[in-house]
Amino acid sequence: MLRGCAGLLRSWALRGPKRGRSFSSEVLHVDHSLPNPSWNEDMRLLFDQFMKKSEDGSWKRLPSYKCNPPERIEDVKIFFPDAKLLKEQMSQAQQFPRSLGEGVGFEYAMFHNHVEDRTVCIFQGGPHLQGVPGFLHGGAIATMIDSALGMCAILTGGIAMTANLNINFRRPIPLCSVVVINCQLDRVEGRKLFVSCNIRSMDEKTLYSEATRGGPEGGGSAPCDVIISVDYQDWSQVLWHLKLAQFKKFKKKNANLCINMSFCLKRGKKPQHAAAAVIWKTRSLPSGLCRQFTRSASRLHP
Amino acid sequence: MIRRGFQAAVRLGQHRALFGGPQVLPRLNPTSAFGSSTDALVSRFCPEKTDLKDYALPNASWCPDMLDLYQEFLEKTKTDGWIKLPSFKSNRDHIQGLKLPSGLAVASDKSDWRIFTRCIQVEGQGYEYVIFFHPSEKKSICLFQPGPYLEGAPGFAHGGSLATMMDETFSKTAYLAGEGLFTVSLNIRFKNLIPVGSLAVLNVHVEKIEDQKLYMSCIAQSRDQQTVYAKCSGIFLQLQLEEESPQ
Repeated sequence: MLRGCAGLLRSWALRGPKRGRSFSSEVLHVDHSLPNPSWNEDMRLLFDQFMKKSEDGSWKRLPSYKCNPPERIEDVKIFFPDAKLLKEQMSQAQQFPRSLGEGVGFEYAMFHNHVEDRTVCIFQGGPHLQGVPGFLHGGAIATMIDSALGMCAILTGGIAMTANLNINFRRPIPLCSVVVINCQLDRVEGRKLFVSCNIRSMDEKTLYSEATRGGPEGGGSAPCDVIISVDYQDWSQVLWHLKLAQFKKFKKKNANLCINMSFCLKRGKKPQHAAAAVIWKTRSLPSGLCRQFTRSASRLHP
Repeated sequence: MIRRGFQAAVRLGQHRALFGGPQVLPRLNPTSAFGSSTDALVSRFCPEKTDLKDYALPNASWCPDMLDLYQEFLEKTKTDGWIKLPSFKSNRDHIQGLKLPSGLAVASDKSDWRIFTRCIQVEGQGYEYVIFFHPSEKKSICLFQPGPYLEGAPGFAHGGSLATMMDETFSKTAYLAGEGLFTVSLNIRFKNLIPVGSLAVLNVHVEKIEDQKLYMSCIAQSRDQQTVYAKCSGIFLQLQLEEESPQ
């Protein structure tokens, strides 16, 4: 039954709710992850780039609607039988990031790559998302991160609720600018899904924030104490500097060690950057190895 | 310093932002006398007479729990040193006469920009909240009622809406307790979902202030404290706002 629900939810995420169901308004069936007049040039450019990538089938655009589909409401009733889902409220309810008007709030579109198993969200924050004058509200950024990571988790693991959300803000994001949220699934531990993301500017040169999100809590310890993002010129450099073989030997002896390396390699005619995110529990590593990591990372990324 | 603060509060000027692109955040100058006192900040933040609309007032959509607690804290503002913070359409209305440090101020400040937590203007559909601040103990309480437009899972508030509310309460507390301006990090542990239309009480404490950063913690729970909705720790960066040059 659970597998069936998960499958239902995944198909909903990819295809959207069936038409002709109980919602009264036509407006609620509109797919909002499509360009509209409020999108600026940068946003449209990014959207077109990703739509082009979808042509070969590896990337897929995820539709986004104002309301939860009936299937999802039924699924929630299964997991939360005590929930008082009042009929009145249900008819008025709207999915949070889509409840603001066109152009003034969250304008975003999500794309999923099933080959690399990662999700990308392009996001333009509107004028009603202000915090410090001229910049995006930290909570708006948190909402977007939660939505994007949530989608990433659902597509991989079925129904998921946020248990932990850990965000490091590096730079304030100017209002009405376009950013790219790159999400990926790091690992699965039983019922827990660990997903992480980073927010970068369009040209990927500015890092705005990094976040990790853990799935249902089961009394486990926090997964991340230290996060280092480094840009590597070549994967062979990564292997050499991180002494992967030594690390793997160490990992075999220590089953509880949480080490996760996720990387993206783009091959092409020009040398491409490979980005590697290394996450570890510092107290599980001997101090010598920690120092090695820090030295390698600082040499490559001063 | 305090006199200057009061004078600036009385002055009702239009503020204009400096033109300039955002750069790396400037370091606080440790040699300058750090910041205004909490009282000065509070008096500037909560102008006594203003034409601006205060959104943090009871309306028909507030649930009975929220109204009760609101009255309770309103009584405490007279006796126990609590202050009710007004909530205007934009943060800029709270800092009249001040501007962001040069290098951070962004180009073109449009009048239709609003603070995120007051973006949904329909009564009762979005964020309904009020924040009470205690200057001497550096703590706050926020009464928060999420509306149907903040839905995530059907019938429950979106995780992001609670994160936003915590960030907003942290932000106001950090500013009044120590001129904290930008969020550096947020670590939220969700325990339970908040049903749409019910009350969540957020208790925020400032743990310590060191190294140009404010460390705060928050617990969101139901009124009877039987259900804990989430726990959060946040770090804010201290940055002094600059006086606007007189036009």
